[in-house]
Amino acid sequence: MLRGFNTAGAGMMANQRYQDSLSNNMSNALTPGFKQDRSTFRAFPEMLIQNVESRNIPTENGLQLPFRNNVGTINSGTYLQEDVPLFTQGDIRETDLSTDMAIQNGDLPDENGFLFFEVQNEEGDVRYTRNGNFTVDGEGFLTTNQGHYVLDEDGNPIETGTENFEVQQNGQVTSPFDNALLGIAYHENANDFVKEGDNLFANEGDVAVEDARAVDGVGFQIQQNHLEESNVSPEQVMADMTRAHRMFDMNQQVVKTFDKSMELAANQVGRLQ
Amino acid sequence: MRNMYNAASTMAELQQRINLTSNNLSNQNTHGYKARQSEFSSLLHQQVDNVLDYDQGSPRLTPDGIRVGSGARMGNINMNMETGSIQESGRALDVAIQDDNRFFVINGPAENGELEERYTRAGNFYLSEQENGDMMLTTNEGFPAIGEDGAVVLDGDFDDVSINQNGEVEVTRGGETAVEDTLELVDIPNSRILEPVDANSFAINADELGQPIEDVLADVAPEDANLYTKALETSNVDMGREMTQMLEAQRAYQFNARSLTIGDQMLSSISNMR
Repeated sequence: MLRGFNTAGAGMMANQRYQDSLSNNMSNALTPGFKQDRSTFRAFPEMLIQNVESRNIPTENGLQLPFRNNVGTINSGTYLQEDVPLFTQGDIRETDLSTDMAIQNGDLPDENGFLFFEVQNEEGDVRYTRNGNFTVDGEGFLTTNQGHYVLDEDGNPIETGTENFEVQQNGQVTSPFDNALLGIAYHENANDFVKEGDNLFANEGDVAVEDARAVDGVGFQIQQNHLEESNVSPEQVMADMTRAHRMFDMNQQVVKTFDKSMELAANQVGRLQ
Repeated sequence: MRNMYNAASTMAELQQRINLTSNNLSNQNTHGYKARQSEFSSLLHQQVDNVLDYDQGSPRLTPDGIRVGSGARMGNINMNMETGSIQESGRALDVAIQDDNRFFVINGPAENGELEERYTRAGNFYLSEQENGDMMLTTNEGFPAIGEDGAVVLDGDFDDVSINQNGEVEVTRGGETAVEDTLELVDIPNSRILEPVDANSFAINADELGQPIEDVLADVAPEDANLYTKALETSNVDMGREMTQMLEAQRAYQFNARSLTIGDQMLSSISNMR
């Protein structure tokens, strides 16, 4: 069997996955607070190729000795190993809506540290988001644009009763009902956060999320009437998509080439006269 | 071929966004219209376990598996309740509200054919002659404006009528001017509960509110009304912003269409493998 068949097939599958991830990035080019996924490919684990033969020893009895010779290592393809969200600050844009908020990162002590708003999902668990496109629900609580409660420092929903409220740069909400500090979470390694849809992230790491105000050296500003834009750059995604498309086609050509070799082997070399 | 579905569903949502923008643009000259804005939200991410059995423990940055997203959708539509600019019209029955979140109470047709309470910022009122010769104050669609007790109905034989800055309807008969009715005004601090029914009137869905409707409305006393007479409030649509959003959405639509085409070409190259 020609090994290259599966190698090229794996290349096609990996590029298909890559394309899925790129198209999702492109779809979310206008989603506030979206963090683009960057895909990494990984070669299949190396295999050692051994040449197995037997050699004649020039003696009277014609002795044969088994002979093994290491040819070298080979990788038999690639797969898409990870989609890593790129945690960088997005541009901040003014919207004129008092319920829109953006986190502007200040100094962070850890290289992969990042800040999030704290919100509550349908099951009552705490989730994290960068999308500050909030609104006020019928009962007067501050919610995300999908209806999840935005939490304060102590993990309680915030009742403002109106969309006319003030948020200071430290996250202090001043409204006719509740006056509370917005819950801002800090995690030292945001790569532990996984995406769950509706712009929510869940912490799957071993390290607990901390209150951003309690960690030394963490700086941030909350900007009311502003939104953080998606950090997807459409031109780059477009270029990557074209490249992934061509890589897919090239792998397809390789499969075809192997198929031709197989055809020769089957129909020409192995033909019975 | 997830990428094609991603692109297709996002294109449908972008179309909605373009509709919203075009609705804002076409109501640029509607009195009392409030610009609507909406932002996107990412769709569900699916966990795919793609780590090979014999490659467990390979170095990686994120938790195991990959999370593959499925596009974007539009989130909640928010209205920008900022007061538009005041434009003098010189008409005696035009009044403009100068305070944020304050509304006139009017009637509008409910789904069951009867009249229901509505709220509007459009202060262009008209007189409509009734069968018995009385005059009723109505909106530009002919539905009653609400005063002290229901619709404002005046005896037909007057010389002049106007609305003053307290929302009071002043009627002149034989040289004598008297206040005959007062327009009802309410403050709605949480304007996010308002559901737009047409370009400039809103309804409150009491069933889905979660609290009594009286708790979300505050009556405004006539002396606090602070109306601007003989003027109208223009819409607060920002032309520049809308055009920018239109272009942005249009480009995003094209990009997603491109991503769909690429998906199609990849399918076609699979089918050409033999």
